[in-house]
Amino acid sequence: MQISSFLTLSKQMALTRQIEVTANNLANATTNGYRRTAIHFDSMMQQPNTTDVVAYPFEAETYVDFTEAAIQDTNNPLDLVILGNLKAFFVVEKDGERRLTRNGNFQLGPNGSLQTMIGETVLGDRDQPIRLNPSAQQYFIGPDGTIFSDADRSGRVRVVQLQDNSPLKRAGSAGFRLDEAGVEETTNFTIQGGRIESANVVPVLEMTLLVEASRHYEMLQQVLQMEDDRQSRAIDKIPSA
Amino acid sequence: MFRSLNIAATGMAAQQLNTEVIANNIANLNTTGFKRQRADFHDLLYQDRGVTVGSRTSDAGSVVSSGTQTGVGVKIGGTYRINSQGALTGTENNLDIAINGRGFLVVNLPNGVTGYTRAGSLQISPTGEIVTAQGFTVRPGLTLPANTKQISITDQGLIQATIDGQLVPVDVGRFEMAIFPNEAGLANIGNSFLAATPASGNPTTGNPGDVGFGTVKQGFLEASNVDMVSEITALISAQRAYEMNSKVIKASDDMLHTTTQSMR
Repeated sequence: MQISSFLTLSKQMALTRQIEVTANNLANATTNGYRRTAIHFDSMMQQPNTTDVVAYPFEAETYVDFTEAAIQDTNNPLDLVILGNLKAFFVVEKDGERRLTRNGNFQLGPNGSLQTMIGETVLGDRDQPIRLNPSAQQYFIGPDGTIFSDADRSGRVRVVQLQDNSPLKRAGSAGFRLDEAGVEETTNFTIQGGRIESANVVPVLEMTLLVEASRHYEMLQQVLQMEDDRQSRAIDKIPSA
Repeated sequence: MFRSLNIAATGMAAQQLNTEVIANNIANLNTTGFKRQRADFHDLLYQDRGVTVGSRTSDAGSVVSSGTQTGVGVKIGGTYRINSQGALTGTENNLDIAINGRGFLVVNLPNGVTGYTRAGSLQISPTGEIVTAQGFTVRPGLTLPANTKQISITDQGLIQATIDGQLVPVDVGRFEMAIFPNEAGLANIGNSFLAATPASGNPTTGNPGDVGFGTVKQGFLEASNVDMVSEITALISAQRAYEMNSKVIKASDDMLHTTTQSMR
């Protein structure tokens, strides 16, 4: 096989990965608080001989896109959104494992504690669970994240901000694994109740990426085909003994 | 094989459920005391491929800050009820009651289970007992005296019956109501009834108007809290999301087709 075939194949593999990432973004277009995955390709230089330089494309990394997402009104008092800081997160805990999430779709747990939809405890400042008064008539959310059951203060949700370039590992359910070293406490945000943040997936962008990847893949197949024909013709030209 | 095919399939399955939830909300637009539901989605696990996030890239201690993590799709986290108050609609029927605020009427279901409901369209059984539209006893079990010609129900749930030929009405009793720490955790059991679960917590019983309990309004019914406009918008976006996931399947299929076509 010639180098051109390998080059084509390496790009086709990269495109397969691209389409997987796009598929996951589109599948999560309605997952509250989901941050889309973006992919970045790099090239690997190789000098097979002294004259030409060949650059193999390969997938360098996927990264989390923190752009803004739409906010929806739900009128559910325990749905919280973090406004004014795209890198701020709630801290939730289950079985000793802590996660960061922007999905503020919270509800009242069986014992009056504030929980996520999948039963994780929402942590307050000083990492204490937030206990609401189950018999309260109404819950109020202050802009700093303090929750009141009627007039009584029930606690304040802990909000942390990601430090730049700290490693970020996805943990499912619109969340990331918490690495205490990679986050810092912050007051640079506003919390609102009764609203929820949707995914930041832009359907048009994802569809464009999808079409682009699919067409590009096809084009490369043509290149592969042409190279194959060229070799086949070259073989035909060899006079038979 | 292309993982994108499976990923898109999880997306389509999720949107299908989303549409079912919306369809049920719209179908129950005129169901008394119905609370609309919402589907909640979560992204699935992520796989590290190639470089792992957080791994060292040099002896100087630099680390990979994002790595290559690809997700495997979406799952349904659950559906939950939005327990906002429905509009109170006047019916001028003496036996219609609407609960304004928190709480449920407590009903003895024939199978021994205790049902909780906000549908207050009550009836009188042949024996004079106050029952639900299905004929189930409303707790604590209230029987009207014979020859009752007028019933009045106070905001605190006190039922008074005026008997034919008497001027002063007699007290029949007060409705029992229950509240839960987590109303969203109650299980739907059909016929507008909900049942207690470990997630809902234990009911606290009391009477209408007690601290933490709503009051009742005679001659009113609580309409469903379904908002037609928001349901239709949700339906449109669910349908489009479904369509987009199918496009991913199409694109992946085209790519596979391209590859297989070149084989000979």
